[in-house]
Amino acid sequence: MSDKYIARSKDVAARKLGEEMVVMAGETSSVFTLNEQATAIWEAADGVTPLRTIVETKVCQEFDVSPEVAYKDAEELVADLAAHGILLVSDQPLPSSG
Amino acid sequence: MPPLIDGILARAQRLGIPLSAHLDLTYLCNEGCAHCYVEQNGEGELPTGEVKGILEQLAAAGTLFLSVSGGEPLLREDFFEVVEAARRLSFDVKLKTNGLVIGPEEARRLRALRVHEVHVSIYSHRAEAHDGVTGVRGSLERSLRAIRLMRELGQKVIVSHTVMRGAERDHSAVKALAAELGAVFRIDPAITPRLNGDDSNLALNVGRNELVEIVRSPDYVTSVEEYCAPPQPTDAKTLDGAGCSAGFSHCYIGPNGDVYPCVQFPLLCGNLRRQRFAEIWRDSPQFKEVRATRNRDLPVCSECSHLGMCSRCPGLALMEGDVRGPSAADCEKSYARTGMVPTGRPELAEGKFRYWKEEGTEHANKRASASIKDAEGG
Repeated sequence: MSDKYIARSKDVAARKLGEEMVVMAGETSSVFTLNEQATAIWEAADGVTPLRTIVETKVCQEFDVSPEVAYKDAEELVADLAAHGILLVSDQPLPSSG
Repeated sequence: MPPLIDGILARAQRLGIPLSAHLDLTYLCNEGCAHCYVEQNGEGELPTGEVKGILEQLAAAGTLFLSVSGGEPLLREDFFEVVEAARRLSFDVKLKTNGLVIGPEEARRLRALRVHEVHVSIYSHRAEAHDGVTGVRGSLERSLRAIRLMRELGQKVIVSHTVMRGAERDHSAVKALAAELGAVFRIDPAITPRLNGDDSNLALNVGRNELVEIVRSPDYVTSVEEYCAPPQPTDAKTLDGAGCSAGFSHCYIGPNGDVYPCVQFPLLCGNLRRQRFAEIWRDSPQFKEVRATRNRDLPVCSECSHLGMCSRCPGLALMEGDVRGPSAADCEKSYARTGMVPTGRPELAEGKFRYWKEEGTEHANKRASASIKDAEGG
């Protein structure tokens, strides 16, 4: 099964506020807040680590959730963030984007 | 303001995080605006490396929103290097400029760096009035050219319109001009004293009648009905609250590294050449004092009928002599909004105004004409 690679868009601004990430998309003047699990995925989105590995190492171990459930949730999150243009998703590594 | 942002600000305050910072890179400027609150002076400016170091410290402290201003920040040769560093550190950058030195290449670089907003000051749609304020002939034309260049590249531009005598009726035309340019229009009805305490520029404030017209105009607020509603009785939550974000989740850093709660709050809290930002933000007695002040500690305002809806500025109050006292500009604005005299300022019922003189008074006209430069000589 092919995996996904994710990278944070360089067009946005982001900062961790406590345990949550605040992401500001200047192009649309939209602000997003990511919960702890989403923040863990965001921080690990370096463009070269497969999403499945990120879920296994950053979500399942930290938040006591099964890989199947966590991966499904992560796919939905990634699709949502990509639709807003704040995360890049590819079937291939995105080495220069992370 | 959207509720999500409100929640983020409240969270930042609770966590003691300086979510927003205003950084003036220089006090030098290529305009000489009559109302400007800073003295043009390039002494003590931090070199590039130290500015970048401050950006790193702000990022580590949790600052996300960064306003870069001056003076005219683009006069610094390292301006783009600084902004590039800020964007690399993932700040949301807003730039405040007059646009005079923004040509095609500068516009392209700002856009490429994904600067969120560029605020350009436009005082009037009439060249003689705008140039009269800036003291630079042709400045309106040059600022508008910069806006057009940036808009062609899709850059978000805010037209910032400070209302003042000589152009008090121009805000609707400036708003129309902003719309034509594809820019967002924002209006500021108040001129505030210079940071050195000189308040002669207050004479440029429009008359009270114009102020009433502006604060009750949809050009100024989205919901006039809500903004100008009568004040609600003060409750315990209001008394336990504090006024604004200055010192709580916001700070100002001057070109020489001085740190203040806000650009309009001249309470020196430390200097970044001598101390780390985190140390100043966390331990400065001045910041602690600001954060310890609650509305119930304000001797006049805590008893005032307008407390719950007033935008009292502690910095302006400090400039008037007492950081815990009322700020006349806000008392008068509150009166203009509601038409009701704040109980903390009964003298307003007698027509005694500090910021907004009655129209046509000899005093106000004399000082205004003395302050506005002759564009012909600029």
